[in-house]
Amino acid sequence: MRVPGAVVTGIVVTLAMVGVCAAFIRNASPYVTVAQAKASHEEGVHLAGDLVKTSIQTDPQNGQISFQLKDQTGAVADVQYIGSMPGNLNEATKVVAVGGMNDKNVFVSHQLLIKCPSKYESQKTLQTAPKGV
Amino acid sequence: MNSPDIISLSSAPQWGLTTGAAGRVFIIAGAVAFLISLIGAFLKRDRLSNWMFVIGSLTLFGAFACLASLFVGNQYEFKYIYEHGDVANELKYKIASVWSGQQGSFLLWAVTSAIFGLLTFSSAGIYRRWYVAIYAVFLGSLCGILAYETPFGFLDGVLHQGRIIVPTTGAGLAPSLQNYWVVIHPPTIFLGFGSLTVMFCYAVSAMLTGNLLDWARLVRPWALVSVAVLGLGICMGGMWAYETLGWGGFWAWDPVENTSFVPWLMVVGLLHALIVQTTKGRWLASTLLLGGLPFITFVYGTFLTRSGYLQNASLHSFAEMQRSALWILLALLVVSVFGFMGLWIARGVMGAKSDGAAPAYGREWFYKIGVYLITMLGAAVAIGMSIPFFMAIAKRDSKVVQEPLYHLVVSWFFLPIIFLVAIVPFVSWQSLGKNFWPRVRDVFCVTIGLTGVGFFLCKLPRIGMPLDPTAMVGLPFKGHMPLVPWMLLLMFLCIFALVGNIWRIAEMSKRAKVFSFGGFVAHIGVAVLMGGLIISRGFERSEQVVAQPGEPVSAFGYTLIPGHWQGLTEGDKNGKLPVEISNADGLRLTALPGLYWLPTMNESTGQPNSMRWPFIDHSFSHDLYLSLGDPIMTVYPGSKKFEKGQTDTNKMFKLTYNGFEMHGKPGQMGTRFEANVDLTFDGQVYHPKPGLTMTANGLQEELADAGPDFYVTMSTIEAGTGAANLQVYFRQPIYPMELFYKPLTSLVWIGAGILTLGGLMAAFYRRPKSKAPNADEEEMSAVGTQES
Repeated sequence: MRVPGAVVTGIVVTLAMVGVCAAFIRNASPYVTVAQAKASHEEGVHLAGDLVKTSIQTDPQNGQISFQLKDQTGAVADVQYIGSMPGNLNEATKVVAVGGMNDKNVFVSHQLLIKCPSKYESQKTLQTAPKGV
Repeated sequence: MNSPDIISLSSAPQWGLTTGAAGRVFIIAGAVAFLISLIGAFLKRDRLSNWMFVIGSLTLFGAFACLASLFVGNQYEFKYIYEHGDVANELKYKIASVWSGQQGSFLLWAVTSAIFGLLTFSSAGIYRRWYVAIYAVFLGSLCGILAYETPFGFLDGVLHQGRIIVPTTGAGLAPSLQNYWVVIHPPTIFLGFGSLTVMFCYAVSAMLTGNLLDWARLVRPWALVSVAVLGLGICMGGMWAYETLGWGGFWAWDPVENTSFVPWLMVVGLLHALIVQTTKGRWLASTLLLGGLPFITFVYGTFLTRSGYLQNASLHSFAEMQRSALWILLALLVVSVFGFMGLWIARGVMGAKSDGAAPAYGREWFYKIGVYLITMLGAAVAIGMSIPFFMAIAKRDSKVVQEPLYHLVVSWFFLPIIFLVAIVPFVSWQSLGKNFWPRVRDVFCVTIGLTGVGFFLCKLPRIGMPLDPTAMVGLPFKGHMPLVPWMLLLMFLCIFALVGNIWRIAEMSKRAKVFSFGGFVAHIGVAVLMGGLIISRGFERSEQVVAQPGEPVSAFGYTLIPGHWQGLTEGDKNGKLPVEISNADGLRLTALPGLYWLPTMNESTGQPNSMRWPFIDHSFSHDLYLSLGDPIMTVYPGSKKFEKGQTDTNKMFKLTYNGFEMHGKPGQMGTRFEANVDLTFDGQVYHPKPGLTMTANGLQEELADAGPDFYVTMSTIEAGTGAANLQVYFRQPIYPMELFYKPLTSLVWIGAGILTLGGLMAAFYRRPKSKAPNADEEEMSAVGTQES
């Protein structure tokens, strides 16, 4: 029996797309909680949390910053960031650190994504907007 | 209520209010005109329909002109102008501010779509009635979005005691956007987006009229224009990122970037299908589908990036879109997806007669594989950018697809595509054709030779950088492979495609017109561009270092010595930080990355926000790329509170705060508080006495010397406990720097140029002519002649 070309093509395309979905979903770096990061010790995971502002310690000469992140479950992790200092860390409300837990349960990160409550523009808006009208 | 600031502000001039009102009226009038145009098409009143379409398009231009003149005329009583304009901006930035926000970029999309609508509708022939109707529906929906998401709304609170006041300036165009790219990139890429509407409307009207064949010839030149313009816009975006953002790369697989890349891939797929349809009269159903996909994927990407699902995944930041406007956008997406697909199944698939089998291993057979691969590549990228959205819908934990994973998945499709680009020029329509194998073999041998030479050159220390032999590339699911063979394979394939297409042009050059080579030229451009991207990323070296002025630091064989900042004032936008770069091979150069300070303070660090531009030393063989981080001037983020007697020991120094003394009387001008601090640094103990003096302007801080490296200041004191907030400043700022060595980035620029040239050559060759080209010419030019 001759199988129509369209059926073969359809199957191949479907399989390829399923493969693409599976590859993306299984290998995408997950957002983890502190507990998950500690359990897996996996590299390249995203740890998102609230920045504990009083915990920031800088060591500019070695290009390092350490601070604590409190995740959504309330667990706190020590994060050590190695890299150039983000200028807006202290304004940050939420920080996403990309990296992994080391053996001492310190989350070592080379990349920080910083969510600021306001961008440059809106900061200036606050200063200059006519008030009380 | 009666703040003197507000009273002193001038009232809005009549022309400004009129222009704003005119802008709102234009949008509404546009919506009405497009609605009448649609109704006219239904009633078969073509003149009415066409005129209303033209009038609707002109009102969009009118709205755009209104918005631009409000920016140029500094009418900050309007919210959009206030949020994106700045009285101090140069004229070009005032105009660029028009599209720097959400509302303005929708208006720009509407305007560029209308431009293409006006250019195309009169030559739409038998499709004109439906073409205009569908185009009018789309532009009418954009008017609807703009009516809710209006750029002509007033700023809250400008109505003051019966008059409308004008703030003296706006919040301004973000300083990071202020360079010439913001003037040229968005209009270019939006022209590309606008051109997608042409293909969509042609495909839909072909299905509505039932003539599934002739639209291909009409749409083909516009598809070529679209590929060239959108491609150029995408390349410009990459260059903008590379030249000014300091990420050290061209492409980050950001959702916003993907939203332009996926439609581009779909248009490329459409173009190849159109070649088969116009030449052989086959593939009618597939071509229709491919005609709709560029527009649909763009609307999908726009919805995704504006909907807020990608907040965590994108480097671009988006304002929250007005809800009603977002609903209209979603409706536009749903209607275009379901409407189009339903129509396609009912009219396209059912309407097109079965193609029957094409000759096996003929050119059509290869085109088919190529088009499937291109479309699947586009779909794969679209899936990658949708992962956070899928996870959110499935209520699962969010995940992010990062750059290396994109590279892996994309390569499944890219490798066979670039292989086909290399060999298909030698295939004839009926079969592989005579002399196929000997020619491919010759090209293959030349390629092997060139790859070997190229790899050898890369290892020469003066030209390239050796690859790390232990480096690995991760594979999807599981496992790794060594980087060296991987790079060798990628380079081989790019050179294969390059040589194959040059070879083919040489074969044809005697018999064919120059402009008919557009397709090959574009393929050469793709091979060169991809080669440049692959080599510059794969062989890249980078290292982050920090140094103070005069202090040498080394990064992979280079020595960097930052100097002292050069500029007129702190806010001088031409300010530069000279950095001496040298290496053992005798390189000496002064890099001049841009650095200046904004008027806003970073309240946490107590230092002004800075703006930086990377420095790039372009040469043919490599770019040396120096990116500055935010200069560090303070030791403590914000300041640090010290209780009396408290000591802070860190890696640099030991600081002990022994309390403060008051000189003068409490609450009196001139009274000075003086802290007593011991700072131990390098075995020496210093006793800085930072002071705070009461002046008419509040408490004034003083810098106190603390040895050769530091100053200490005191910002606040607590009289009750004797505690104080102290800050330690570096005498010389610490400059974080990242040095990149990126070989052969020149190929990226050259390749982008060749690609655009090829696209425009093909578009010129395919321009609408009074007489349709005869069949011989068609056969001749469809990516090569036959060899028999």
